[in-house]
Amino acid sequence: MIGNSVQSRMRTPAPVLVSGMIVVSFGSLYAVQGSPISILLLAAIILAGHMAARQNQVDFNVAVGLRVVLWTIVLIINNFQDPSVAVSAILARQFLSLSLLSGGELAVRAWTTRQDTPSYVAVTIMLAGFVEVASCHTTDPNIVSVTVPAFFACMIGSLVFRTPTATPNTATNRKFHYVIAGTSFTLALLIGFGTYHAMVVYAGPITELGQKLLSEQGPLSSIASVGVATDGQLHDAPGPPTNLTRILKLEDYDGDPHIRTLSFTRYHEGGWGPAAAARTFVPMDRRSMHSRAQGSVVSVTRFADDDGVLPMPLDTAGFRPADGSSVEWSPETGGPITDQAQTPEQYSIIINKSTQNNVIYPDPSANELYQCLQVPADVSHAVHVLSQEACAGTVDPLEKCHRVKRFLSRNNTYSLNYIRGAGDPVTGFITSHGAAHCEYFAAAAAIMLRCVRVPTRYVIGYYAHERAEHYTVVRGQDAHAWVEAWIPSTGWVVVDATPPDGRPDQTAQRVSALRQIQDKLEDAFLYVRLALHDLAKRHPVLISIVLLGAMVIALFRQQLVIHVRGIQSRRSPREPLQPVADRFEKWARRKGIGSARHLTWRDQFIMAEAEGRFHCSSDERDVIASFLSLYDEARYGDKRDDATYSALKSMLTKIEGIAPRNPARR
Amino acid sequence: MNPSECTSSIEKNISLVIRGKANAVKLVVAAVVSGGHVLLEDVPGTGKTTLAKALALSILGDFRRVQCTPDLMPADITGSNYYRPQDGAFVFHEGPIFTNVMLADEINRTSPRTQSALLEAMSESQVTNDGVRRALPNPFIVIATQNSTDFHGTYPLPEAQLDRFAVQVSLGYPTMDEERAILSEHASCEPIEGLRGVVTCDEVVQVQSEARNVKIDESVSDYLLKLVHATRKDQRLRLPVSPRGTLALYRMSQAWALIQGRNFVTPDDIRMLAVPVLAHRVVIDAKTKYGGVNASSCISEALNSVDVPK
Repeated sequence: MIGNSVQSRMRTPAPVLVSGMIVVSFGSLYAVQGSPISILLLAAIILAGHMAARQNQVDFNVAVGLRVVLWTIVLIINNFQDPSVAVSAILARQFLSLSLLSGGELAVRAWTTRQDTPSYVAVTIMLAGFVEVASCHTTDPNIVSVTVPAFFACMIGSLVFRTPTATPNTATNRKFHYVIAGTSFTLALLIGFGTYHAMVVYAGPITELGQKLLSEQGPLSSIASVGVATDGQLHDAPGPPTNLTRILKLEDYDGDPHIRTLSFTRYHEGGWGPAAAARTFVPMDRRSMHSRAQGSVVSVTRFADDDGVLPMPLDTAGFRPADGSSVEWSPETGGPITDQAQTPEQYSIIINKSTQNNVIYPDPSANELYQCLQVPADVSHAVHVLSQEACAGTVDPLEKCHRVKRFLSRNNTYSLNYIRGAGDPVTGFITSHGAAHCEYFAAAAAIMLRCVRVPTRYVIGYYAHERAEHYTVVRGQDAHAWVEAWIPSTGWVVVDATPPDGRPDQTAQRVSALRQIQDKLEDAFLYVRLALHDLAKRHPVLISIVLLGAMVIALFRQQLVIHVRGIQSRRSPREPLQPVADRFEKWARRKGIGSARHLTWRDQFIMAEAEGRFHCSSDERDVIASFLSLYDEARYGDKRDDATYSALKSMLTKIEGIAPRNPARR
Repeated sequence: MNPSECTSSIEKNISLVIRGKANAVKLVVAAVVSGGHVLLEDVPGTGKTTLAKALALSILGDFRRVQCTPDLMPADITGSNYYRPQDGAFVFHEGPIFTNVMLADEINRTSPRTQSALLEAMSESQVTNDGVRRALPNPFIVIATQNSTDFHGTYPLPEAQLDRFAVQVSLGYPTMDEERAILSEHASCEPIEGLRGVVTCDEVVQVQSEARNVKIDESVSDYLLKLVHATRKDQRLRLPVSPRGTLALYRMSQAWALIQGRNFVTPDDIRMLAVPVLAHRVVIDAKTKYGGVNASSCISEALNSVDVPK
């Protein structure tokens, strides 16, 4: 009896866990979209779905269905009001959030449901896991790194703290309970990891499919990296740099903030490119690319995949992937490539400690230098004249660079919105003294320096300025463009012609506290992810076996539960009463009356009152008593009509309204 | 008169003489409705005999009382053939068992031989004498009493006999207020003398047949069976509940539901009746017995080990 009263006092933590998951999901949604209105809408819709289901006492699945319908209606209305380009991408993300919540709820519900009820099915759990992970993988890997581990943590948590079954406290039952709990725990871990591994292995095709299904706009990453285009084209209005997605994390880096990804030498018809040919890395001495290279080591963690390009600063002297795989120097691309299909998520770069002046780069080939001096014919003569004027009286290429920078900062201003007119955009920018963003400043500087015979190339990358204690974070909003000039006897030199007020750190949106928490979470889970990724890559067969084994154990476990407990699924007479019974049990649990399985509700109620766990007035006691007798009549008698059901429901509503009273302390 | 009115009028009538023992009275009435017999076990002077008499008076039936002593013979109960010289033949003389309500007072004081004379009567409502079967009146109810404290010169009832009682009821001592009421009522006259019958025997038979129609849902009968089987798994019980016990609980729960004015049985009924109906039938082994565990607590534990349908 003592054990029973303790058990009945324990509350199920499932609502807490679901709330936690909702908070995590809302956080992700906020970080992605930055719009609190859609979050409020989502919250309202989830609440409405629950309330509608509760009011009409419908099935949980119906509730989820209702929610999807409501959400779709809101999205359609939203689309009519704001038919912007990114709508379908936002739609995809919102469906991600929705399926995330539903999958999570489904899993928590499956785990906390009593094992002898038919709704407890191992397949439900599996399904929830797949829905969850698949929906995550269709969109942004940055969300996955937070939500997937959070989901599995919640799942395992709900399992560990699951509602104890109120069977008598005998040794056999205890042993059975421990065996079940242990098996479940192992199972949840296996399913979680197994699913995740499988998803990592088949991430490519799943992502492709998801994007096909959810969005006709192509990869979502093109929306994610608002700021500087990765294609080398000059854009009219990249929009405010608001993308807070982390691109890189550099540990103990205090060098030049310009982290380059791609460089272009060919300027043609108002754009730099083609990009494929310009997939170049810093040309360096082949020997120095090895891990034996001298200098300080900076470990880089890559969060976003920029078409396989490994971002690194100009003064990189060596490169070393974290997984120890071999590195080859590619003369075609002029940079390090690995023998891996996927670019590594973690790697080390070796920064040359000495100043750039002392770095001995191999001289670019004559052909390359020739390319770096080409000025296309559609650049007007005025640009040549202005360049000559700006650099009059000097032959020093470094001085020329300074003069061009000064010229541009004196005549042009920084603006994020620039509408380019007809003709060559660079000519227009220089001659009309317009206001534009970093792409134009970089392109103009490159062309002007070429006019005064300084070889240049146009570089895009990130401006790493967000420094924390031991590391530097690079986000999507830090995207930047600049110029590298070839100075004989010195090497390539960074020439950033953008005025200081146009650098990303000046216009960047402040990083919110929520985002910082998400960053920390990402870091924590990244290590797990990397380890899993490595495992998935090496042992796909083993993982498949583990997955299959987990499924078999899940099904076996269910059979064991049914067999050992002697559970019969003959519950048909109760079906229409099921929601009423569930509601009453839930209420009884919440009020501390308990849900012991060997006691009738009447007994539980009497015991709770006797033990001082529950207090109510005599009127309320009458309502409860009449509810119980009417329920008995419907359950065990023949009174099964709609009038009885509705009477039961109205009584239950009255009972649920009983105000909590402080039990008298004895 | 509908069945519940009928039973409640019997209850009310008995309550006039038995103060404050509503539950025990209800159990006795339920046993009557289920067609079973009652074993009253208690210390002397708590109203066992009065209860039996009041019941007999209430149903307007015949009432006979047998004081069981060690020298009581079976024929003293069932009756015997004796020779009538004027007819030149043996004539059967009915014993006290040919009645509606028979009170077997201090049943454990008579010999096992005489106790066994009741076996046939109790289970088949008939007696066989010299190969001639004679049916007993309907309804036929045996109310046996025994003193649970005084074992000197007693013969404990055999298990087969115990199993034939539908229910074992204890009255217990009254509270002070109840006893005060008893005093004031007995000051001028004996209340039992003023008791009038409220229902006829025919009505009782009708109620008995109606009790058989009370619905027991499949989940409830499953619950009952699980409970019985839980006692059979209990290692401490040398003799668990017999199928006759299962049937008794089944019938008693129907009768109990009818008394409550319901036409269906709930798990609450089973839980309420389990100890009074089952505890006296099971035999616990000696080791457990001297360990301070009694049959009632074994049945209670069985109740706690079975899931209740909800």
